[in-house]
Amino acid sequence: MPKTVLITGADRGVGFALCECFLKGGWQVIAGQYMPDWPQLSQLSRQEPENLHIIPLDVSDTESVNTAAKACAALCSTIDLLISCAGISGNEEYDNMRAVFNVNTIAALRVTEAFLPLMQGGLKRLAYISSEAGSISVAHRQDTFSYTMSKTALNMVVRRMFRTLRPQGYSFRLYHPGWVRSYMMGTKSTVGNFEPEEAAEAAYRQFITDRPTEDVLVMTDISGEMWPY
Amino acid sequence: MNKTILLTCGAQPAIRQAADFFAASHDRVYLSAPARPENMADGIRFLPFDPMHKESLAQAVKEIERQSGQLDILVLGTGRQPHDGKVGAGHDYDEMLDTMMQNLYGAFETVNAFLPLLRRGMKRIAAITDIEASNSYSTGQEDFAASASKAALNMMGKILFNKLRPEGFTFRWYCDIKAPEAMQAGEYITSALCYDEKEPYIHSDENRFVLRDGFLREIPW
Repeated sequence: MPKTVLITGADRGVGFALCECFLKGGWQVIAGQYMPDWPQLSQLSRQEPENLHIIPLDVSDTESVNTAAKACAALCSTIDLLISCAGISGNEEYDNMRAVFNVNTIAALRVTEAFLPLMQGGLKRLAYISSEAGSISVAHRQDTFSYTMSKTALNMVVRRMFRTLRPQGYSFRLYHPGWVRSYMMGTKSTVGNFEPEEAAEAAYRQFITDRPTEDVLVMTDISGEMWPY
Repeated sequence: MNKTILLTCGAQPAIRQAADFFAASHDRVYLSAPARPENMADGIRFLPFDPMHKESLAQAVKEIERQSGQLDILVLGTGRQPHDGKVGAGHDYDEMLDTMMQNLYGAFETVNAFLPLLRRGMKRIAAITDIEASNSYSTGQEDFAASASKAALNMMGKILFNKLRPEGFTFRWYCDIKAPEAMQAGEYITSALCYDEKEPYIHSDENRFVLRDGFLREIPW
């Protein structure tokens, strides 16, 4: 019986590359689609019609998330792994900062709470894409307040969920994908250290591999190194 | 008259306590809160403003400029700290967002608005927070919006430190552990920290962004 993963922000970038990794690994993939006009997911779905299921999912919208959870329940009885990958960047204007907190921070709780009922009988693994940008100890930036704060806040949200859910058998991954040539700014970045596929491949290995230290919540990077908060 | 100090989030008990300390030290103290706090000590001036509205902020800046000409220390907090439940209990996500924006956008706008006055003063930015702000030490399972705000306020402080320390700004991030025998927030915020040009960078607290409690223990982020 193949395991099932739900991936948010699966349209492109690391999210899409994660879909490819899990399909190659023999998983059933439910891909949260935010941008129906973006062609990659649909193309992949045509190649993997049995194993890739696309559901509309806007993680910033509670109704959309709850509708997606119902759609998932119709597709499968259990989600083994939930990957919260959707993320955006923005400046410090009110509307932008609010959107960044909504997608990067609050959505982690919103999505987890909506899908938790489907995870009781599975692998019980929750993975969140964080960032070095959320590490106060390491932060070297002099700007990008919204993004950095949203990732620090995400780490705190995940920590609080960890305190409750770890005793119930859940395991967690908090992943810093490195400086990825991503679509964070709308179009694919030409600068960065990693292609989305490289970041996703490392994430895939970390997300499917059990650790002897599951009782400690750690943020790890693409090479498995731990980052301070 | 010593220093001119503005404390935001005046409804927080630890902020009120710090305001009392500054007033007792004969500093010129401005306290901001949504409503006038009861039993304010003599010497504390109530300065209500809404950090979410630029006009209100600009008015507050103008008022302190008119009365004092400068601002020496700005003390931040997280004024909105609603209680919410554990994961799985269900949350009002819009309310959580409102909380984070009030706490963080409000603090960000306040810092920006008062920067010109701070540059004329002793250039210090401080925050009073608690152990639930620490991603390393936090043990709570509830109060997501409040604790996420506190952790993010720490990050805001770090970015401000990176940006403003070269200008001579100093930072005091105080972790309130509610121990009466510990050094209190007001004393910590006004105290001098180790700074010796000959010291290696890493040994100088003034050149590092640190969170300490009243026993001067460094709290990991």
